[in-house]
Amino acid sequence: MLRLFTFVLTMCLANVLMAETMTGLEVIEKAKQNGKGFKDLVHEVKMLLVDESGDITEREMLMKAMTQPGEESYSMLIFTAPQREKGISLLTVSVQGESDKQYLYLPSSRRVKRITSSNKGSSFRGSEFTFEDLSDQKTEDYRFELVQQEPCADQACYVVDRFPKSDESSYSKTRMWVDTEFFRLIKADFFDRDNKLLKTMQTSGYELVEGQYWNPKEVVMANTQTGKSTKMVSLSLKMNSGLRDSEFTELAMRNWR
Amino acid sequence: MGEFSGWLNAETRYYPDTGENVEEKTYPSAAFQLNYSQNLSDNDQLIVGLFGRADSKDDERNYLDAREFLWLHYGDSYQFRAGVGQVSWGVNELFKITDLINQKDRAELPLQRKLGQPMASVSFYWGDDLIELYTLYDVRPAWFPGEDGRMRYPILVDPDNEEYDRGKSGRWDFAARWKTRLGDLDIGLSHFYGVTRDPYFIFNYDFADPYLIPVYEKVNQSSLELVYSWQDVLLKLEATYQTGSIEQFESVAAGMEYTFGGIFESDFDLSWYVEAIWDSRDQIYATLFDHDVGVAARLALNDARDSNLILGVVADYKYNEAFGYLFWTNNFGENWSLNVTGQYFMANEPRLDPRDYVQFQELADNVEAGNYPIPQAIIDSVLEAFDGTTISKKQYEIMLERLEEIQLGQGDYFDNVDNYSGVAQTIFDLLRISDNSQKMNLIERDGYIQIDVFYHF
Repeated sequence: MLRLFTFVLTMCLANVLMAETMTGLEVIEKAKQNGKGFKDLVHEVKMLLVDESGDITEREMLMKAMTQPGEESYSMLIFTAPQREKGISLLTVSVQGESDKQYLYLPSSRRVKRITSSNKGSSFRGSEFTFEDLSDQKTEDYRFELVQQEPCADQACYVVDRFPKSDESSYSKTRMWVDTEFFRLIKADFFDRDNKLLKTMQTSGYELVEGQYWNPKEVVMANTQTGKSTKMVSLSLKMNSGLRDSEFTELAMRNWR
Repeated sequence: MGEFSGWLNAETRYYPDTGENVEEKTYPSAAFQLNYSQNLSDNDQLIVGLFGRADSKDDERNYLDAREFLWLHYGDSYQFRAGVGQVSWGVNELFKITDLINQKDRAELPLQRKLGQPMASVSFYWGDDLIELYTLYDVRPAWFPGEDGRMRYPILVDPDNEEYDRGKSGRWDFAARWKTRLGDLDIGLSHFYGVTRDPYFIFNYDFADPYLIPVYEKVNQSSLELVYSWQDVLLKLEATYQTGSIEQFESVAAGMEYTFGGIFESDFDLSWYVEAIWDSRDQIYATLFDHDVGVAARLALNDARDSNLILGVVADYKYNEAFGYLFWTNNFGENWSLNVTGQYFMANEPRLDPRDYVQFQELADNVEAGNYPIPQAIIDSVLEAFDGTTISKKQYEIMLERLEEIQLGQGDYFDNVDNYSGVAQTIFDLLRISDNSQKMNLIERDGYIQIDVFYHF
């Protein structure tokens, strides 16, 4: 479930000079480049779920991920707040050519349980983000069209439409705004299978991490059909801090405090 | 300074009907869990979890337990534990036959919680394989409802008396477990040499004050656990082989788990659990499940409140017995959560009728009249009524012995008896408990609903 932790990264991009004429696919490929090349990351995130009437539910989590080129990649998601969820963790082991293996640790029973990968269209813990939104989306699963360039916020953006090739996606189309200077995802509109606008995502407060990775301070996903929204706030992000594979085991889940 | 956390709980269990032996319908109670953890160094930690419950009706349900009181020492790829701990083995959701390090906390429904187990244990990686070695000190006696408690059998389990057959290693028990992965298959192999957590029972043969006495004996149990993921399905299997002083048996419980995401174009996830269990024993009192099939569905609403609904049915495939259950949980506010638990018992086997067993009254009448030796025909017909069914093999051996003595007027089994029709009733109750087809008939007539409110801090 590396995909979950790179949710910000897949949306950012390397500060490479843009070419004069780019296709939609090239824009997105550039945007994705930034999400690659790092060895590991530790990301502390606060998630705020806002319901129709404005009531807020808060959750905090720690995301750790590590890739070994050509080998296994690991990720661990640990819930740190509220207290009743503290210590619940989810470990994903991905081996190339095999399906992901996921393990859930429940501190109340001290039990590590194998689970099947979560469904793409399911909500991530009651949020407006689905597992599909947070996943590492492969460019070959989509078709891209560059619509136009237009100003967005205080910069210029490419507008790219993305269409899924398979029926598995819960969206018919995603329209993305990517800035022309740093190839960062600024905004995205998600359209449901009836082609109606379903959700709007807005990023803000981009910071450069480790001199090469753009990370937005906040990502807000607003559901335009239900009025609910979810804000992800990046509390801290460390990259290439030298995580070891022993931090991604059953024992590590049990040892975490 | 360490960190405190925990919860307070208020609970009410309500039975729409009175019980067979107990009139009480409503059982309010309260509980707490207090957790404390402190880092002693970068690699050492102290973990404490104290639990207590006070029940307003069932005196046996007033108790304190150290769920955990552990010194934890850990490094990159090992963990050492000493103190009182909690350990979970197994892959199944319904029939957890390999999970035997901790005694289950039978006073807490549903049976998710466990009593703390004194232990020292080391866990380490050998390549990618996880190896765990345990030394365990003594067994925690299982809990059974008291006089005023519901869901109990007509003869109470003696709360102050247990018998132990501890074998050569006395109070020290040992266990080891090896976990490995083979592609999509997770494998667990374990062995346990220690006192069983599931006692068998013998009758105390005091007809003035009848009780069942739990007997804990040293056993060897080897276990296998498998989980295999096939697309979105998890296939699971647990198997055990146990040898003790009286009998050896095998037990297999297997099943699958499947999750549909986003059903009905909603955010809801629906998971199905199907499991079946087979056990080679004929007489099992301590474990309710021996030849059963269970189907459960869990609906996760995927909302901000983390709402979950579980509905399930467990049916005996040998006898016409089943129970259904319901479990609802959700959070509210920052610190609160609510659980609703319901259970409904269905006993469709014909209830045994005391009028079909006049020989028990004849036996009691002869004892009362001092008519020794009691005619062999009556003894034979008592034995015939039982026809080999018993709460344990040991109990049957003892019964044969005692009946011989009773026939001759020996022993002090009736010393304080003043009501001899009560004697006949006790023998009849013993028969009902012995008969595997009567399990649901005995436990409870209908069911209960229980509401739990938790405040987390």
